[in-house]
Amino acid sequence: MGFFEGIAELLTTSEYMGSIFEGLKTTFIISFFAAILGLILGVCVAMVTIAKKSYGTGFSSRLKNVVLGILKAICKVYITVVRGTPMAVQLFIFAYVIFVVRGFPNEIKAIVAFGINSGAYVAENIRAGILSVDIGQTEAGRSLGLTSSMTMISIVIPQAIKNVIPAIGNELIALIKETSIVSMIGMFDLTMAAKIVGSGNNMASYIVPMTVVALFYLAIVYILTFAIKIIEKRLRASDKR
Amino acid sequence: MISVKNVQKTFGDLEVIKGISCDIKKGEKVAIIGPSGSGKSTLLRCMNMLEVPTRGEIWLEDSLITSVDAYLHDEMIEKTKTYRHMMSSGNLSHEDVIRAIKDGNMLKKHEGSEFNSAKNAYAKQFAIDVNMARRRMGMVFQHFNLFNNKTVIQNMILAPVKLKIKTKQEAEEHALELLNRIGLLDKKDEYPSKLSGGQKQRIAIIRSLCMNPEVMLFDEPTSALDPEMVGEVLDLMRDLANSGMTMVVVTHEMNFAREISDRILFVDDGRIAEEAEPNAFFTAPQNPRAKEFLSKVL
Ligand SMILES: Nc1ncnc2c1ncn2[C@@H]1O[C@H](COP(=O)(O)OP(=O)(O)OP(=O)(O)O)[C@@H](O)[C@H]1O
Ligand SMILES: [Mg+2]
Repeated sequence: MGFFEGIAELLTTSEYMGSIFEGLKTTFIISFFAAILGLILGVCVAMVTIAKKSYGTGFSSRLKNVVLGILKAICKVYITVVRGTPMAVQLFIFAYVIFVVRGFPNEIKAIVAFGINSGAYVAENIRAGILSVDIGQTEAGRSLGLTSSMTMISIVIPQAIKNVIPAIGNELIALIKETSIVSMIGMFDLTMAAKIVGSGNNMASYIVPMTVVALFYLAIVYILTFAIKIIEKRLRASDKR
Repeated sequence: MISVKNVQKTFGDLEVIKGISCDIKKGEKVAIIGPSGSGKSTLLRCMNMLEVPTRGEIWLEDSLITSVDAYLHDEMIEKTKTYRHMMSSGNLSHEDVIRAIKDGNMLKKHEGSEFNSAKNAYAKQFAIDVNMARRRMGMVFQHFNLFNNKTVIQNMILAPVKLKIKTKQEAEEHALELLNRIGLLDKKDEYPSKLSGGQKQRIAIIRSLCMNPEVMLFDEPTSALDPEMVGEVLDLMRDLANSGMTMVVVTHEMNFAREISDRILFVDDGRIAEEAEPNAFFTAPQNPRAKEFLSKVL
């Protein structure tokens, strides 16, 4: 059987296509919710890592400094550990160490594992994006009497977003591709679907299903890249530069 | 208007301000000049807490902007264990003990509860929130620092509107009036990237004026400008000076300093090396470093 006949067979066999779409759905669900979790986590962690200690000597500012110090230490450990260990190991730890509750849904294990992983990278990107905004912008805002959060929200973050969007987009793409390892904890995602369709009981050849699935990934990444380009362009347009 | 009391500032091991005290009176124009790296910008930035002094106090009228510096208040030193210990251990005079504690920087370890409550009471009586203080002090930077993501008019109304000092309409009216006065009304909807350096700096100045400040701080406002644009910025500053604004200007424009200022502070190596009326300073500087500096720049 030739390659193209194989493709035709796969596309016309509803059982095979059903498997692939089911896998696609899992990949999509994990990626989507993990991305949201990662973004929220990343923003929070970035805020902590760039926050400055208050210089007051009163009790409340000392207490704030202690709390901030602890939070900063936690965030540092979090980023170091996540970036310094393989995703597969992190996934296993969530699946077989932390969430070892009988009947605990696999989806949630994966979403949490990938979200926490992604959060560390997003945090680093956001931190870099905020630091890339000229300090003079912050100083001008503060010298007018604006509070640090007002300055952040009205001046720094809008400028940082422009710098950060491409990096966050890349992180999102990396996240989607990384989810292909969830079959290691027995989940049925897009990659697993290709493996099942290509197995001996079905097509008995991996080349066709793997190619089709690769094209699926490629299409998703391509669409995302395109969307990010558009968002970037919009943001730059409002800048009139 | 602004009192700087015995301010010191260190960056890590680098001692940049080594003890400066000065008073800026209401309506006064003070020019700060001195060699590069002598600490002029740092001193100016300490005045509105963009740099937090390591030691010393900054007052805006009757309000304390920095945290209470125990070393400036003898009566607080008297309340420490160190003081009592030293007083009881020999026949030292009151002044000697206080000086020894100040020089030795020994308070931190010996703050008693009595001492702390005295400090807090003092802070409560005089301290003002730094953001509140900054509303009353405009600051103009060497590199303009207009908000890149906002148009000219948005730059000008952002702070007064966000801080609920004016309604949006009031703020806009005031901004347009100021823009009109400097002849840049047609630029109101431009982004800063479309403006020349001179235009940016003049807008940065009137952006500060939108807060109706009581004093304006300038950090080398013309140093980053092409020569042909220096004049327009100095003209605006001259107008401002003539309108009675209290101004502190760090500048390398000696002629301008001589023309508009009431007093020159010559800063060298983190200290005020000479303080004089401008004509006296420029014709007959007393300090040898000031002489040397002037012979180079004039
Ligand atoms: N944030 C900082 N961290 C470390 N060192 C600093 C910092 N800001 C200033 N300095 C150092 O403090 C010294 C004085 O700096 P400052 O900017 O106050 O000088 P200046 O008199 O304004 O000089 P210039 O005329 O060149 O502007 C310099 O040696 C500078 O390198
Ligand atoms: Mg300077």
